[in-house]
Amino acid sequence: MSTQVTLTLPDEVYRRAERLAQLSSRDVADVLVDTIELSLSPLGLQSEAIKPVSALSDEEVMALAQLQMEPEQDQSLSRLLDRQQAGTLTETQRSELLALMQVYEEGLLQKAQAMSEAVRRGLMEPLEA
Amino acid sequence: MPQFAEICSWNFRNYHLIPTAKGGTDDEDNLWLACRLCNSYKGTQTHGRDPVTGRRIRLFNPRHQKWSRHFTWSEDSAQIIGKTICGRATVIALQLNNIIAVMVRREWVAVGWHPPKIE
Ligand SMILES: [Zn+2]
Repeated sequence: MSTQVTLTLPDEVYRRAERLAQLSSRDVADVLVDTIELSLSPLGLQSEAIKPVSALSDEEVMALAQLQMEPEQDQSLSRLLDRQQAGTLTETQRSELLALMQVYEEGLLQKAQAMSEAVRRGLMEPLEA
Repeated sequence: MPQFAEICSWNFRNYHLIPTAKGGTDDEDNLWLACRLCNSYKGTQTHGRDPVTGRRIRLFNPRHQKWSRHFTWSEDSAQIIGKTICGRATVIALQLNNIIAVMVRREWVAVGWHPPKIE
């Protein structure tokens, strides 16, 4: 299954895709499909719909801004990353790590969105960087 | 002061995600515990290849090298640009501009938390 979309790319991006297409003797469109697919691969397909942060109540925004991983998942992730560093991951552990990294990355992004939304709404102080 | 992961300058202050190094030694591998994104992309790599010169080089070590000598921010502050052989190799090896990192940095730029002032 596939869906057709029309994209407007900055010239510079298009030129890069075109260059890659020439180098690999392929269509620019195919190169773009591959590029998008590869860069989106860290994200899993969660079935539940996600509301945009702008549609959340103040309480929901604050809850999301304080989001943390479940302690159990958090510990497993640390342990698996340690093993990955040491080069001792089994195949099963590797897929486990991938799944946990997805949870972690999606949480990171949602949390960042919620935090900046909270600052925009004046619920949180902007930090001095 | 916010605390930043030493390589990707991840803002951890509100993330509470720094794993407590449990009696870790000072060896290089322990330095990477700071950020899980970097950590997961690093895997067992200790060296990377600079895309410009093709040279293989030891990855950036925040303990012995200065961030600003090897990296800088892109104009929109969302991406890390390698300035040296080591910087460029590290950006690629650790995928410092992976989609999640870039999107999160954009959120922070929007509210003035990024880029951090680091030495
Ligand atoms: Zn990092």
